Amino acid sequence: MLEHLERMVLLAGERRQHECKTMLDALNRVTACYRHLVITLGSTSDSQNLREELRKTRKKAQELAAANRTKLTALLKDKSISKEDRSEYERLWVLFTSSMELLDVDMKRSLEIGQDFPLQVPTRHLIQTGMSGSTTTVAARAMSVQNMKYEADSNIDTADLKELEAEIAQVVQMMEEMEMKVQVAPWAVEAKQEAGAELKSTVSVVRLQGDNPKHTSCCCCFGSFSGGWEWWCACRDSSVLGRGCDRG
Amino acid sequence: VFTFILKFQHDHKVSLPMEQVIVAMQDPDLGIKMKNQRLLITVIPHAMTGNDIVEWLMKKYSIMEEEALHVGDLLVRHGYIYPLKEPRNLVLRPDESPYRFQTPYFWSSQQWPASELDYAIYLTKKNIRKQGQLIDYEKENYNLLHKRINHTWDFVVMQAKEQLRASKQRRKADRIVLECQEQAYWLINRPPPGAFDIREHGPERRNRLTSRVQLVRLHSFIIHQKKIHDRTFIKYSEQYFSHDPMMHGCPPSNPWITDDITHWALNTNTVSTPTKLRVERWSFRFMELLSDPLGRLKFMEYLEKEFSAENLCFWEACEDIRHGENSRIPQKVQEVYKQFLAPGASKWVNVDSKTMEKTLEGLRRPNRFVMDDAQMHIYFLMKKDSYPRYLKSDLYKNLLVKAIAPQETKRSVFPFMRRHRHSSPNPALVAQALEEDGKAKRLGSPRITSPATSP
Repeated sequence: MLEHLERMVLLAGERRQHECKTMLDALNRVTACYRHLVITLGSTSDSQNLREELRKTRKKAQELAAANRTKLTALLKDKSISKEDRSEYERLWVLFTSSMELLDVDMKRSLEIGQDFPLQVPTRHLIQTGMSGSTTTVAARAMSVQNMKYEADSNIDTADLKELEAEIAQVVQMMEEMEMKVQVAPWAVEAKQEAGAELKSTVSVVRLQGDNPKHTSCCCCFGSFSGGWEWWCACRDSSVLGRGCDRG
Repeated sequence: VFTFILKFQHDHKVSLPMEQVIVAMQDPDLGIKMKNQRLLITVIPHAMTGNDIVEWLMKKYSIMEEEALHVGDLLVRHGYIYPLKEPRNLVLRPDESPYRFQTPYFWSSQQWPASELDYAIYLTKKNIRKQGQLIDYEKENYNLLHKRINHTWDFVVMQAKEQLRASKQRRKADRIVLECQEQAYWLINRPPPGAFDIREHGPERRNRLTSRVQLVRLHSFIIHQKKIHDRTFIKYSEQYFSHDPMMHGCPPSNPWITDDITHWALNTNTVSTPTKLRVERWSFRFMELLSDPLGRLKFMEYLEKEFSAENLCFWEACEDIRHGENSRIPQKVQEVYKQFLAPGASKWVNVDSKTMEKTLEGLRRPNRFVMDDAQMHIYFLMKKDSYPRYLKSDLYKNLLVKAIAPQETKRSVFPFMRRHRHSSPNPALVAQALEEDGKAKRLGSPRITSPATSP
């Protein structure tokens, strides 16, 4: 009977860790997508659609950030968890704060660049950077949807900037609170992965020369996405929504 | 010169014309005419030749080819334009070599310095794409970073992979552009060893593009990249020129060079007669006077004669709250209120009703900034009223007359003659010896030498 209970506790702990990791993966993905979108700001690919994509991605990031923070804070405050579990949660905490660091900077930059390059002026002076395509698929990836829906008014570029300012203040405040409430020494955390670990992955990531859309291995078949989140195949020929990719 | 710039940047906003030039180049009618770049089957728009850039600059600003080349070169070296062939060669060639504009996110800025985290992510991405074949200095940097930010390395790998996945969502042409942009950015911000490093030579940067500064002649901004058509800056630097230890020396001599500490001795906070330069500086700006403790002391003497010393006392008390220990803040705030703000206070200061209301509100939850508004009000009061009168007063004029102006000591005839360097006594030992002396005097016994004090 005791063994059974012990097992239940262990499983519950494992599940908690797994949930945490999944949420962090989601936040990580949204952060990466947001970075892509901000890079496009101010260029000739900038558009009202891009501004809306930025806004939606940002909101998603904030939702995930809040969820991650609540979960991790609760776990780190829990005195009953084991030492190994605690050091794992501290590692996850550091991953979380790093993600927030990137998001914080990118939000501030998107405010600055968004203000410097307004869209509703008689002559736009967007920089001709050579980018010509849209970022709709990147945003869709961040939102975990198949296609983006554009619902905003035509003045979203100016309307959103005010909201953005307020949201940046919120993020800054949240990060300050986090630092004060959670006592984690980041330097005490050790990475699980060694230098060059990214090369040992079973996934082959795209090479630019000879890029063939029908290539055999798919970037989406990656272990960490087993937590039940929607994701879709990066092979451009088909968008397969689900847990597995047939082209893998 | 660097001291000026740092001080100036602290006080004013410096505009950066390079970004203005880049924006002007985008003009649909008067900007540079773009061409397409063909890479096998991919066509990427928005390319221009080195020639295009030089000719445009010459025409737009009516300058000679040499100047235009110099300006264009600056634009490339600071990362606003990057070369498409030979990306590591960050120069402007006045020929058919192709160039492209960098996206605003990757414009180098002091406000957004390139972070280690980002660099680590970039190198990891590159590592994946090149399957472990990083260039020497990049490999070194990669290993260094892996040690230095090891605690967040897992995030670096996670984020690198996700950024690569996100870029696969773009069409091929855009992916190529993105890679080139990133590479150009990091060539500027983490240059290979031996290459030109803008972190050491870059001009002072500002944060926003929206300045209305008009470029009349590009010539002035090339040569005087750091101090341009802003009259305030030139006035400022002229004013401080003779006060800058690097430009004008520190009379009588620079202690670090001659081992003569007279310069420091003459400029302490408790000296009875200040130096001429120091008294002069008090007349430059009010803040200059206030930040010098001796200046404050002398100003206080004047205010006492005018029966308005409570203003300065209040200001000093507020500074003490702002910069003092957290634990004593509530106590200090209460004291300040009793002494300066309460009705019938002994040193009552004249603060306007709106500010007083706000301050009283804040007193309910005292923090180190609760007195800021009131302090600012009194600061401006002193600045507009007492300060100008002080500078015209006999007290101040006397200080100037009586001030010391030490002669510069003659430098040694042979500058390359070696100075005899001798180490000064270890301050810890000196302190200990003094303590021992003190003890011995109190106990009336002969001095006891401990092992630590013996040479």
